[in-house]
Amino acid sequence: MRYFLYVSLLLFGTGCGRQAVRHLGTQQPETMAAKALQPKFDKTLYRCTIDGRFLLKKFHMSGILYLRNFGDTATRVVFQSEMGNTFFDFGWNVQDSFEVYSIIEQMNKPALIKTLKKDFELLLAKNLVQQGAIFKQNENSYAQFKLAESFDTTAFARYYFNKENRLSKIINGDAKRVVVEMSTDTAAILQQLPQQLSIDHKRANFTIYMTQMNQDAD
Amino acid sequence: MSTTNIITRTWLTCCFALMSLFAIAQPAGFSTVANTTVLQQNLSKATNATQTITSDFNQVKHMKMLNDKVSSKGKFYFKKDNRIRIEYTSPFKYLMVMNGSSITVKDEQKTSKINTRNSKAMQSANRIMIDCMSGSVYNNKDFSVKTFEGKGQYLMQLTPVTSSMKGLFSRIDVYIDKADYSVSKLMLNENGGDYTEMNFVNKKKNQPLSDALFSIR
Repeated sequence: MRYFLYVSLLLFGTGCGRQAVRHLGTQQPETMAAKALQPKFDKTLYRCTIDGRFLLKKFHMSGILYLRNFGDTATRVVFQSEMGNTFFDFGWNVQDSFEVYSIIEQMNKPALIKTLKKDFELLLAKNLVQQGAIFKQNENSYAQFKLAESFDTTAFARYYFNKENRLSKIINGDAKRVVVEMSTDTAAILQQLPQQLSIDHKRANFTIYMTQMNQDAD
Repeated sequence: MSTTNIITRTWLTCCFALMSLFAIAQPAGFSTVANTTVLQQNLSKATNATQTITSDFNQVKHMKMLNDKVSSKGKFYFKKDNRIRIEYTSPFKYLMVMNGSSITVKDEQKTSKINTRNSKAMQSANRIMIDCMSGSVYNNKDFSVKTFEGKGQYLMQLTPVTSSMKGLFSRIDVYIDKADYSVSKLMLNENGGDYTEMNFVNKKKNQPLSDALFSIR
């Protein structure tokens, strides 16, 4: 009897560590186009800090994130130090094809580039399968999209809206777990970039904090 | 057109092309200083008489490919021999203090200490900033230096020779005011064509600066 209890507790604990990302709402008949989520902007600057842990060592860095939209033709994302050195310069063309224009040697790791690419694509609603299913739960709802470039057919991006239809959270996950969770203090109006955003990478163990800032010095 | 005319035209075109090539090698408004002995002596004299520098700075990052820029401003402090404080005040708060071989940075959330002893690139970056302010650029082994003279300024073009610095910069341009041999502008040129310009204004020399300014608690 005691053994049965121990095994049950062990299985319960293991099960809790890897909880499936379930649908909590009821699916609606209508769908949502990915384009309806894409923020419309010309140029936006964010103040960024990054905290993480690699093996047993904590790390922290900061910089300025510059996002630029060239109408419907191209998008660029540049992350630079406060003193102006470019850490990386990423871009997407009209077909959402991704390109690394430049990146410093220390960040030029395929896994890191892939992670950052996905972060920005989630934020900018790029490379999502065109129509997403809508689920409603009480006064809130979310739209779920498959990722266009993912080999994992269970991988998804989920965009949460509050009762005012403002974007409050984005999560990326698969059948087993949440991989990335993006949350904001103040829900963003649809098709606008959020004022503030925190991007928590559950597996990679680092978090990016972003706060919009003025374009130029006073 | 006669053969003579064609030959003359071709010869003149080649001459102009060669002359313009020569002109491009020198920055506009500047001419090459072949012998820097006098300049180095004057720099040394001026920096020996300088214990501290206080100034405001305006910084503009030019993104060439994007045809756009990001500007910021702040305050700059230097104290002999090797202490620098760069304090960004707008549009973000950021503080970098160099004190000997250690660099401490403080953003809105956290203070972090960087020991440059573990990184050649950091050591070089630290060193060149101090050398620019203390007039010892010509002694820096990480860069080769070309010197030019303009109307009110000297220009020192520093090209990295070490792989660690080559990875960060294609060239650093240091503009020195002829009036007092102080640095008026730094241009940090990146390999992709982008560059950052730091203009130092309202410069004051030998103001008393507390040592506490060069540590972050």
